[in-house]
Amino acid sequence: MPADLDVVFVLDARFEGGVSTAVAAELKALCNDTTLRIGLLLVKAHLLGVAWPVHPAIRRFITEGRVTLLRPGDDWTCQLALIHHPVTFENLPRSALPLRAERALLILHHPMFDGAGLRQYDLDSVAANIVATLTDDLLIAPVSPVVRKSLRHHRPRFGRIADEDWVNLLDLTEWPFDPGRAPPHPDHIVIGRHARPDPLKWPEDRAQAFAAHLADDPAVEVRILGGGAFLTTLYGPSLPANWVQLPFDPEGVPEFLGGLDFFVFYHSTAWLEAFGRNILEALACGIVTILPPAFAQTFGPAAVYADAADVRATIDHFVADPQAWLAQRRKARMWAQVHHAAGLAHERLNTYGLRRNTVPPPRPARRRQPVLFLSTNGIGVGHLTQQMAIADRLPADLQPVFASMSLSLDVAHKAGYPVFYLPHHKHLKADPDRWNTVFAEELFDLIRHLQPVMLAYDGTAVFGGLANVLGEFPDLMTLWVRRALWRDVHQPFLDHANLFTAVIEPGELAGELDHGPTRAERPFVHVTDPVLHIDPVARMPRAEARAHYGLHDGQVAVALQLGSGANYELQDLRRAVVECLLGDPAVHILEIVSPLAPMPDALTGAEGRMTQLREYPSFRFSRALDAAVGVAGYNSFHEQVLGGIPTLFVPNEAPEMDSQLTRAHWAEVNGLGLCLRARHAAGALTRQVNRLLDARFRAACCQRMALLPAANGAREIADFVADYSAMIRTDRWPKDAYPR
Amino acid sequence: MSLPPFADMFRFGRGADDADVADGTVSIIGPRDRAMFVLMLDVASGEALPAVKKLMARFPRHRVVFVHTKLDFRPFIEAHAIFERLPSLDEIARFADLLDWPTYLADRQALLFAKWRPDRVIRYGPDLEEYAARVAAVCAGARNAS
Repeated sequence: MPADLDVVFVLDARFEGGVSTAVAAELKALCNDTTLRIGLLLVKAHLLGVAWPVHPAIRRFITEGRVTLLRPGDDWTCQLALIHHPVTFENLPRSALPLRAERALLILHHPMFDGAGLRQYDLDSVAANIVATLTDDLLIAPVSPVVRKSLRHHRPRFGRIADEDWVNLLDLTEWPFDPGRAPPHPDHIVIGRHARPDPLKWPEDRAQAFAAHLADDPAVEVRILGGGAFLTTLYGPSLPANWVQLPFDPEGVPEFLGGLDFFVFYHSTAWLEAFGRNILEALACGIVTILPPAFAQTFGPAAVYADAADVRATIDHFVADPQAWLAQRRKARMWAQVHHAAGLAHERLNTYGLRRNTVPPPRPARRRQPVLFLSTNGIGVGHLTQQMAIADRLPADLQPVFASMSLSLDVAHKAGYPVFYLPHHKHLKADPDRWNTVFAEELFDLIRHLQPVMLAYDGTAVFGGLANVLGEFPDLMTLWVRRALWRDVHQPFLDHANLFTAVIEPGELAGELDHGPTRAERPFVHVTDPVLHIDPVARMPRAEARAHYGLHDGQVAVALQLGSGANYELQDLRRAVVECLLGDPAVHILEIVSPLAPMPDALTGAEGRMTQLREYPSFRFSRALDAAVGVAGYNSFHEQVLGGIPTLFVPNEAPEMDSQLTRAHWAEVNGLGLCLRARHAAGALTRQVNRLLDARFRAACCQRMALLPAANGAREIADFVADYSAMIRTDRWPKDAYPR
Repeated sequence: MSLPPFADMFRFGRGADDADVADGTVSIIGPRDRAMFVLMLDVASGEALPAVKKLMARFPRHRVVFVHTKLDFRPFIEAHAIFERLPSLDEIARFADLLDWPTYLADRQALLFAKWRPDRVIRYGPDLEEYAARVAAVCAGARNAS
């Protein structure tokens, strides 16, 4: 029977290095053939513990719908599975694979032994796991002669070693070659190298490193893409004056290479470079490339080989002989064209027996797999709004389900999602310890019936009951989306971070002023752009929005949004603000009342000039506004600032809240809004309201707000949920996976 | 934060029995507290909600727990009432494939009784048995329609 898919790529696509870029290049070449049915099976392998997203160059193919993303529970067949990197199957998968392959190719992107002779993986064990779960027909292909040699004539117990190496390919159009480039000038020679910032990618010997990279030669500029503090750790505090360090930037490599006369790459003796994609990229751009002799087996005549001490002489030779330099450039480019052009991807598949133009059998419709969005109570709609920002952007094959302690749960229901109410102990007037026991039972029950593919939690407090339930489902993908700007009182909850598969911190415009407990955690979590439920550009046009509110030309529309008042009393301030605003005869106030709050009393004197309404999400209509007065909760703050609405922020300073004061203060000092502390700045009320009503101030404020980046982290988190919920886990060691 | 002993947890997930309920392990109220349920399942708001405050006043020695299917919680919040919510029949019909509703609701009801140990149950509209029957009918209808 014909297979459902022709080729399926199987890999941990979160790595930022050469494996991901090699796969992206292959995908690009293959996806140009629309008759080819390509799948992607994501694996969460054990090597990468931090919550990195899928590499953007691979993610693009999912977003554009050019590959079929396989999910746990699916049932697919394919002709050929390409398993990239042995780490992918170092452990047995934690669930049955959603794929059966007629043949699989395990591509060894890493030597079996490193430069120091240490074993890097157990090939027999990896192959056994693949044969047990994916295919009966396994081939093993090294990516280079270096990797092949590292196998030391090993005869695998499962599968057989392929005759050909599975070399890296690249799209030559992305690596431009300039045939007219002027030869290097003897007084200003530019050499460069790029690699991820890792000490192993540099010679451990200082003298060798300095010789290979022409230290302190005034005629030579050495550009290092992927420098960092590790270099001073390695070689001491005084690095050569002619070394120009640049941060690692995979996106900027072609431009970087375009400025070089020579490329050099020398690394630690402890490191065995499996292939050297960075070298291939330099060769593709036609750069004269100087390497240690060990690379000759991989790159042949495309590069020039010299010991570190001889790099200077090699460069001198080419500088003195521009024709030789030009001939070597052409040789490099030609090598890339003949051996590594992306167009070879098709041909290579054919040699592994791929049949073309087969007609797959019809497939039953996929069941939408549940993603459980769990949130704490909060005081308003903040947690639910954050989660709906993500849920609204999930692919159609996932079904968001909301389980919340929030009294505003109705907003998720009205948005079309199934909802479950799990009351918080405060709402039940219950003892927290007893409640935790019951809450754990309730959540456990929901999970065991619902069988979600992921649990995404939004809240600062990780309750004991939740922690215990997470322990009961260790294979479930779990995500903690927690905001920054914590108070010290929240610190103990960070101890629960390792209960989750991943932690995401939605970006904060005022993040640099955040010195709370979460700041030190940033290297271990994934920080996104600020998250907005509705993209500012998706709001209703101004004229339509003003008509929606019944506003007339000339009226200055000011929104008043002081939250639910559940934990911070602002009623006196409300009265004073309204009186102050109404001092301007052009002002019309739109008081937008929280879904939870009782409708406030209408104020005497405000008749006809103040409209009270419940509206969610009110941001959709916010282009109608000229200004706003409101609290500085995460959602409203970022909506106002990124939505270009000049706002007088009144921070809710209740001790259990995040630091709204930080946000409001940041906005004021950056000219992006105003701040009024309800209890500390009574005397400033009139002045601040008058500034808000000053048209020149608002125009300047809008101008500055328009310069802020428009990215919305909600899309990124939705992609993260979609990808992680599709991943097969091989990251858990069997010894930790079963009760003992 | 003190966590309950692990062994005491998830009795329902592992098959709770009457003993678990009787010994109060999975309960939110103390041994001397009394609770009662007021069922307002699948009834129109106008029929039942005016009774919330009256019932709380009428049973001052009980913790009155309103078990309802509404999503507008404001009447209960304004009355400072304790409440639990079960999914409405409309939601169940709309998301009939989401899970095995009859089984989930049977477990949910059992858990609610263990949680509160009510010594009295009164109702506006269907009782739990009747509600379960309606749920089963909704699910069967959805299955047939698909």
